Amino acid sequence: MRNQGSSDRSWNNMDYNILVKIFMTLNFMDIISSVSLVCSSWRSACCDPALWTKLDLSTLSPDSNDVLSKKYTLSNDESGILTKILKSALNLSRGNVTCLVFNYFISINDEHLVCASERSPNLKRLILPLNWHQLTESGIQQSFKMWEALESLTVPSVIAPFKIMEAIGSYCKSFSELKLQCFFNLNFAVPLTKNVPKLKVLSLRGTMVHNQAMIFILDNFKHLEVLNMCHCQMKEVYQYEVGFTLYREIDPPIIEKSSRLKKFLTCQRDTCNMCKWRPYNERVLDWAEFELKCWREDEVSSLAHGPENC
Amino acid sequence: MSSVKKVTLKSSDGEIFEVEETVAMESQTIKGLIEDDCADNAIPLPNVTGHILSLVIQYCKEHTSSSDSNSSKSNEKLKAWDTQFINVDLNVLFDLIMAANYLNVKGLLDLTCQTVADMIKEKTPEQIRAMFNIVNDFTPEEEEEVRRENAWAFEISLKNNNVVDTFEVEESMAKELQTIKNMIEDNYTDSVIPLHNVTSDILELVIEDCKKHVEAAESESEPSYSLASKLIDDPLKA
Repeated sequence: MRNQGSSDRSWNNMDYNILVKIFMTLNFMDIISSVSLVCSSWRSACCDPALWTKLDLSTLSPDSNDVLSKKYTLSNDESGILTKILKSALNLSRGNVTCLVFNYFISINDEHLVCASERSPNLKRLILPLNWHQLTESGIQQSFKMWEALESLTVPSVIAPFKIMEAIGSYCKSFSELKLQCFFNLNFAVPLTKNVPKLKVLSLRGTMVHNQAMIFILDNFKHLEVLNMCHCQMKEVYQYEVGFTLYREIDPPIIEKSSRLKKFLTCQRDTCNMCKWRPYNERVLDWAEFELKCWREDEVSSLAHGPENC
Repeated sequence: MSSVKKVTLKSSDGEIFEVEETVAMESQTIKGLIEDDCADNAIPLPNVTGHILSLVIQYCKEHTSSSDSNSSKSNEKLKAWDTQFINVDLNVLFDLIMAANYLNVKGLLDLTCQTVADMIKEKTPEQIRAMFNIVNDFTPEEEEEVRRENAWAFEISLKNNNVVDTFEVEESMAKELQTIKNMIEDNYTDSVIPLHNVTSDILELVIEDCKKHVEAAESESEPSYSLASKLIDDPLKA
């Protein structure tokens, strides 16, 4: 379907709303590297908030399942490109981005996060990449200070985000939704309840979970409404022995305490497609599968972030 | 057999079209007029020419009959019809967008806008300007902002695009070319300078010529730049 030749109509004077409508189906890279450079009126339409509610850098991933253009690839930060992309996109967005998704496989450092935070003061939802461990405490503090409106965070990686939750506790008073993929034990659960006592939604799908941590969570998060423990691997640590048991069924005390929740999501190991083929005591999802099966999807719809939702 | 209700539409150039009411009501604008009882006589449509109006009517006919429960038209067939239908030249496409907007025919507006988006994808600004007959009308301040923020982005698309011929040249030699000298001095680029409207063979000749003008002695520590040649324009050149 190729339309031939060029046109003598005045496309640059086209109705602003129609321009926005046309641009909405484009990948943000097309917008920042091409469309916004065409002429003044097109650039103006490129700044419309409707185009920038969600900035999804994962469309730059070579491994992405997205249907969007695979022309742009960004598997590591080649010569500071990520910072430049963030600056360009966020400057065009005029501070209107409310959901920011980092490319799963990229590493980010303080510069990236601070640069993003300075230009997205209205951010409500943040999805971090797998490797955020270069972030320093000061970088974290500086960034989350700018994100007062933050409500939802997704943190991949097996390392628990202590410093991040501290910063959120200090600055993000509307925070209510958290999705983690780290091993969830008491060590992390206890400070978590202090940092974000008003937490409403928690997803630990596919992770390994310490049963006592779950009981603690259910006793101490008074505002918790939704808990996702699908595909979780339970772990019980023996108090005076060096050892632990791994199992799949969720303990009755946990089930009982969760009855006050609006939504408690679990799966039946024998019927669940993601779990039934796994050996009984093995962690449900290994590393490499996290990206596809855990990171994007979630039984809690507000924590899913495919290209079609935010 | 009940008679089918018809409405009369009149284009800007005086053409008259008699259309079944159900078909005409694909246009929310016309639907409103009909429901407000303003459609007894011919409905004048001063913003739409006869040619475009006939196309819009064609579209509406096709899409009305397909929502008819008796119709056997599948989504696939309809999509194929749409693809065929929208294969028009750019001027017609522009007029169709205007008409679909004015007449408020949602499906047609979606189709035309998506078509334009598909044409814009993966094109450089210069290609877009050429295709859509757009003049670069940035103010000097805007142009400065654009150049500062976005020049690098253009290079990414260059690298990822089709194969480019790169030529490694010494800096002193590259500076023989005033344009490139300016770019280097402005810290324009990382390491690859895209050249405007210069094909490989021409570039080779130019480089040969420059070499002759450069002094023999060159220090080893001079940085070398790659000149990437391709038929792509400077994004900011009018």
